[in-house]
This record gives sequence, C-alpha cells and structure tokens, in this order.
Amino acid sequence: MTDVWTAPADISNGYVPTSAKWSELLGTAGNLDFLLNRGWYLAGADFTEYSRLGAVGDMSTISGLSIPAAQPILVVGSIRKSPAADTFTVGLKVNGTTVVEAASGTQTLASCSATAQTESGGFIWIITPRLAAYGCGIVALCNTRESTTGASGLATLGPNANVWASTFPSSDVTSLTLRGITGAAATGYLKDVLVYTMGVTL
Amino acid sequence: MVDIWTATADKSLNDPVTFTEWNNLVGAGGNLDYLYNRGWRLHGQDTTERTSTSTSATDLSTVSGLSITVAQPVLLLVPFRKSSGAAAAVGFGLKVNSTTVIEAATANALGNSSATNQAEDGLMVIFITPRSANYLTGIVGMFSCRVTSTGANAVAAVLAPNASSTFAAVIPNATITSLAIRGISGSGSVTMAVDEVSVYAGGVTL
Repeated sequence: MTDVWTAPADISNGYVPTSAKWSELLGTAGNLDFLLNRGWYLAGADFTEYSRLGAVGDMSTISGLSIPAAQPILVVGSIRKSPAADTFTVGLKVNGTTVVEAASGTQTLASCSATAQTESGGFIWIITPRLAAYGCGIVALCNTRESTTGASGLATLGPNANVWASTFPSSDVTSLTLRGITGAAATGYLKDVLVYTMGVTL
Repeated sequence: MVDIWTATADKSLNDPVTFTEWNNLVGAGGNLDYLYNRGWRLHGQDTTERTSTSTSATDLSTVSGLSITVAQPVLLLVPFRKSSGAAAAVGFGLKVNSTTVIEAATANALGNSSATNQAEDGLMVIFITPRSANYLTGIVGMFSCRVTSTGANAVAAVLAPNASSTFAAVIPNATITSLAIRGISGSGSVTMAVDEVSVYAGGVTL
C-alpha cells in the first residue's frame, strides 16, 4: 500500500489540514479513492431465510444496487433442503432478466442432490464484467453435504448449457434475484446472500 | 459507491476541521466505518513454509488470533507442493478452531497432488460461507496441481471437496479464532508443504 498518504511526522495537537492534505485524504486519487476504487466491498445483503416447494419462483431479491457493467461481482450464499429424494436448484435473475433458470438437475448455480437426506452447503458465484459480446461471464461453485455429518453430497461447477436463459444485461446491475425450484417432494431453503463488488480503477 | 462522504467544495486552505467533518471521516457511520464494515480484508496469514513427511494427518500451518464472526464469509489461499522421492500423493484438509472439518487424505481432499514420483505444486482456493444453525457445511473450494519443472498438468482443476470425500465434522457455529491446514503424505520419502497461507474475511454490515 505505497500509494496511500500518511500524516506528516510533525502533525501535532490542533493541526489544521491544508486543502492539499484534505485532497490527499478525500480528493480524487486520495486515500479514500484508493481504497474505494480497488477494494472488494459489500454492495447488498439479505440474511433472511426463504423456502421453496415445487415450481420455479423468486426467492431472495437484493435491490438498490448500482453496479456498473465494468465491475466484477462476487455472490456468496447458503442453501439447504429437507430430507426427501428430490433436488433443489437455484437460478439467477439480473434486473428483470432471468439469466440462469432454476431447473431440475444438478448443474445450475447451486444445487442440492436428489438423495433422500437433509443437506446444506454454500455457493460462490463470480460474475465478470458485462460488456458487449461478453454477456455470459458467470462461474458458479457449489458444495452441499448431509447436514449433520457433512458426509455424502454434491459438488457442482455450473452453469451448464441447459439452464442458460439469457445473456447478462449490459446496463448497470440494479437488482439480483435468486430463484429456486424443487420437484415438490423436498423443500429448498436459501439464506445469507451477500453481494460484493470488486474495484476496477487503479 | 454513493455513501461515502466527501469534503465540501468550499473547504479552503487552512480551514479548520469541524466535529461533523471528523465524524464523517472516522466516526460511527463515517467513511472508515463504511470501508471497514463492507470490505474484504486480510485477517491472518502464515508466511512461513511448513513442511512434513508425516504419513498420518497432521497440522501443517495454523493461522491463529482470528476473530471472524459466523456471519462473515472466509477466503483462504493456500499454495502447496510436494517433493519427489516416491510414487505417492499428498493431500490437505482443514481444521476450524479445534475441529477437523475436512481431514487430510491422499485423494478427494481439499487439495491433492498426483502419486507420480515428481515435484509438484499448486494452489487451493477455499471459501467458507456464513455459518448458522442448519448451514454448517458451506465449504467450496477448487485446486489444481502442476509439475513444478514444466507446469504440465499433474492434477487437473478439481472442485473440492468432491462427492467421494468425507467431512470429519460440520463447521463449528462459533466465531472462527483459528484455521489450520492439515496434511498427509503417502510416503515418508515425500515432503509436503504449504506456504504463504492467507485468510481473508468479507464485511457483512451495510
């Protein structure tokens, strides 16, 4: 962190910063700019637990976002399902557009297995900049396990081709909605969705 | 990033700082709070290379002095390697506080080498999602391992832990105070190592 300004050694009680020092702290290319422009920051969060039984539908929506197309996005969250022989899968809507649909199967953006057991796990998604001709940039990792022992479960890398509904909008991301579906035997749950943006300005 | 306070335009040379301005900078809800509460930050690291030839699972690198709340996601970056010496694999697991969550094994662990008698190295990227009742299995990782001398593929990129691995226990539903990388070598003639272990946690307060 060599570019951040530090207070001069002669600073003393009652020191009155000059406008130049204010600028170094707060101005363009100042300390705050340095941190803001380069860091990974929480842009939205939803700690509520949502449930889904049966047909596809919206679960968690994080709105009030303002994420430019150039900024990568990291999404972190948790899922679980009740102990029936049924999958639970998660899809994603960006602004009003369903990009990856929640669909029966195991390689959407997050999935519990079809094994008749209580499962829980976590997922991370990295969404790359949404630029012209680069509207498909999302990589999803998910791991779900039997809830009490952590034994058998499902590790998935997604999404696969069959669940892709649309490319990402190239406009600012203003909302993310996580969608879910089960086969109506198990109930799926979603919780602790965190949305981070990654700095892109040096 | 609309929530950050910036100095008023009329601030001029040698204008004194008001209480409100200081508070906007460093007070509750001020700029530093904003950055502190929302950002991903380095919480701990072990920059020493830790080596072992143990053929039973053992703690290799421990990052202690942590204070990561249950709501915070965690990211670990763990470079690893093994030496030549025998046709045997090495593998790595994870201990959270005093609980071994994923045991080190020579296959299907959080990271593995191949069993070929050659020096190899690679990287484990491990995320731990927020911990709460009913949500204590959230570990998502990936790794790849290469032949050190050429970069050729030793173990292709793997999503870990995979389906055939077994958790030893669920993640403790408590503040994380330490994380340990565990390791095992398939032969006493093969040295395993991790180095530059870094632990990051994400802010969760808007």
